[in-house]
Amino acid sequence: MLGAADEARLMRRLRYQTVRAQLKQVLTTARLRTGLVILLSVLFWIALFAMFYFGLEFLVKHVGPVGDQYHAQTIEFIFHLFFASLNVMLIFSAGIILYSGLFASEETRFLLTQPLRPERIVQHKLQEATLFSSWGFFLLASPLTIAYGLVAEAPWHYYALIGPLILAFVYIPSGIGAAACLLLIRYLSHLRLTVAALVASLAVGAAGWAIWETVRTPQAELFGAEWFNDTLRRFRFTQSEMLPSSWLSNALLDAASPPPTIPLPLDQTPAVRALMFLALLVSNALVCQLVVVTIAKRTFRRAFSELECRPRAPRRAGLTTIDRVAGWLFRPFPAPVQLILMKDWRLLRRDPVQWSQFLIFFGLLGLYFLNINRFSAPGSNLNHTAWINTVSFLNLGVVGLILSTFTTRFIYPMISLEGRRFWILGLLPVSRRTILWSKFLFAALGSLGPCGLLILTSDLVLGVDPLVVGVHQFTMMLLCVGLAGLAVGLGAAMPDFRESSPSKIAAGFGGTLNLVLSATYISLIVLLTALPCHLYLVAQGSGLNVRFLEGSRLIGWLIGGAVTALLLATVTTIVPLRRGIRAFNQLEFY
Amino acid sequence: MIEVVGLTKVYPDLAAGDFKAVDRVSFTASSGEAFGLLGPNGAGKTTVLRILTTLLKPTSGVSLVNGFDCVRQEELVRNQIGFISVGTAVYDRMTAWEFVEYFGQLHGMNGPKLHERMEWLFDKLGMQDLRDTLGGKMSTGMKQKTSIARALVHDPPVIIFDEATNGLDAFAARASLKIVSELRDAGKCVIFSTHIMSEVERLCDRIAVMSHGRIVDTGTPEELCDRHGENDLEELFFRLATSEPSPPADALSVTGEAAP
Repeated sequence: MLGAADEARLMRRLRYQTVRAQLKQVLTTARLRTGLVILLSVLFWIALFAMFYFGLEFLVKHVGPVGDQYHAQTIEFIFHLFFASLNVMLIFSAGIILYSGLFASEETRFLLTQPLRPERIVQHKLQEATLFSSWGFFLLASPLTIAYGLVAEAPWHYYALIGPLILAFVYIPSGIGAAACLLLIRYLSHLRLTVAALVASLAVGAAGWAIWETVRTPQAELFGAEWFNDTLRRFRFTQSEMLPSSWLSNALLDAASPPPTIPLPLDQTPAVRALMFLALLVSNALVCQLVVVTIAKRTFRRAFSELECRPRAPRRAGLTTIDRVAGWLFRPFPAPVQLILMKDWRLLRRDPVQWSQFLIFFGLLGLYFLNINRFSAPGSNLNHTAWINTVSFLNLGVVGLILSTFTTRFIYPMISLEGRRFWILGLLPVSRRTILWSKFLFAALGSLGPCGLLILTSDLVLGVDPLVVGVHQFTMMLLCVGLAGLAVGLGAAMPDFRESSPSKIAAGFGGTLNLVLSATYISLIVLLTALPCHLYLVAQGSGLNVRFLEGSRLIGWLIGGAVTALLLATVTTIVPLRRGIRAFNQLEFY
Repeated sequence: MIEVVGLTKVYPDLAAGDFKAVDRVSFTASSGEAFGLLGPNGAGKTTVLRILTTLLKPTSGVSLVNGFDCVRQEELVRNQIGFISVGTAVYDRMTAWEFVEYFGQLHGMNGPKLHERMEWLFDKLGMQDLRDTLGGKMSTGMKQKTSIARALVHDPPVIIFDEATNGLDAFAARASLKIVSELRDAGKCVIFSTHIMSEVERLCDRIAVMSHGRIVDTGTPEELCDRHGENDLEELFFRLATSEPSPPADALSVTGEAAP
């Protein structure tokens, strides 16, 4: 067996060669796609930065300037809550990614047959898991920290410390996730799903409870001083000195502080305190590394074997009541379409990874919509009307945008994912047109139900005008149909049969294009249908006399907007679908 | 039952120039016959079979299945065939019973007729114990059995096996071959692609040896051995498969016999 240092060098070289080959391939075969992905990521980063920057500026103007007690408390609250939440998410995502990297990867199977130390294989995969689980963290944390630095006029060393602090921090939750993953598989391999589901449910339940406790305050006291103090108290645990997220938050806040005006002992100066927190993070990251290596050395091969040799009872599945209900709903469609819809429904229902994400996002939105009226101020008529209209309008946009991420993540890759079973599609005794139309119907109907219900809930809780309820339902229908057409059409026109991971398919050029077009489509439809109606109601409520909102003009605008939106929706649905059908018909299964 | 005339398939390749995977191939196969397509990897067997199953479109030539054109009457052709490939795949989250039922229903079967047929197939293939097992939990052999049931559920007149025993253990392979021979005896037209000589000797009434996209020779195994003065089919296969391809298959008649 090679010495540990030689082994490490060999694995580093392997990593270097793999990355270089992948980059070379990307640069020679997918320049446009890579360029677009980078451009869109940069745009996303800029949008996040702008949001954080203006939010923090608002804080300075309306809560207190930098140095003020309320300002400091609020910033501390934001930083600690933000990083503590991401801390928990990083533990989960690193653990899950490492699990698939270590226990469901062909590469690991191969590496285990080689004379390599088990801890080396775990480290090799942990590097990947850390990178994949934390890229989102970098994308969120970097604009926030830089925006805060600019608003707080932080000294240069603040910016210099952001990178090392974040790097040291992410390794700690990744290490915890890795250790938990290895121990879970080694000692409770048969209960791994139950334990993971239980812990995830507890985390989601705790988050839901915290949010509920925060918004259930009597309406009159909401956003008051007492509510603020209560909220700070409720989330005080995020500021515990034992949490790595607190070390990161404290380090950033100290680093951003201006130099002291009075002489302080060296270890009390903000810059030195920030450096001490950095040292704390680095030393804990190293300890985490040591712990993971030790656990890996003792458990990995055994854990792998445990998982491979676990008793496997054949899983059985059958028709359920919910399938019968779905079958009844699909009855109006032609027989082949019914069959394909039913098949897609069953596959979705039996894949908790797919529907649980949908459920979590829409569940949280539903919770928010049900409590939304708590934030309103019915005493003031003008503000109340304006507020209700603005919020209901924004809710519509939010549901649309979330829906677009779901159609990109779940609907767009549907055809590509069938690639592994190419002959199933190719041999179906139905036309490929029918297959695509079925996918479209599945996506459109599947999204219209929950989205329509969510918007209806929001509108009813807010007590908006019946006209708005009608307009919102009409808008939602156009959004669901258009987004489904885009995702199915583009998915068929630009399939990627080589990739088996839906998230990677969605992150490719076609998926990115789908997301951008979807966002544009949502903006246009919402502006065309809902905006005139809201402007009209706001103007009515405020007694404003604006010429373009006068009766006849407004009706023209409403009808014109609805007709234009309908035309736009038709084009957005039909054009990509027709293109997708043409491409799918010409597609050859080599 | 199967009629292939001058079938050609060219894959465009911008870097290396066009690649002719199948070059003017012609043959016929009739009901109650097991017709074997033999050839080394890359000979063009799978391309021919995928054209017959409408998964690929030919560059030129004609292929008819039970009188239906594989290019212009794709859906009708798909109703006439059962295709079993080496690339066995089932939906991970569908049970064997649901999977076979889904295909039966897509072929227009329903009710007791479909379920009687499925029961018969599940008995015949020894699949009763995996009827409620999800695809993702099946072994390779179980998936292959499910695929065979899926291909046969609508009782098609033409069955196409594309190296369907690759990767199967001896028991599963033996069971598959038994099914092929029973289907042939039941009057089905079976097209069987392989490079395993023992399977050919055991099953095929006639064979066509392919090399470099062309049919090198065709006939019954005995005829081919006599024609080339070889006693051993495996030796004959090596000789034909490694020989330079004969002039364009124009010289072959539609019956697959070499022209004088």
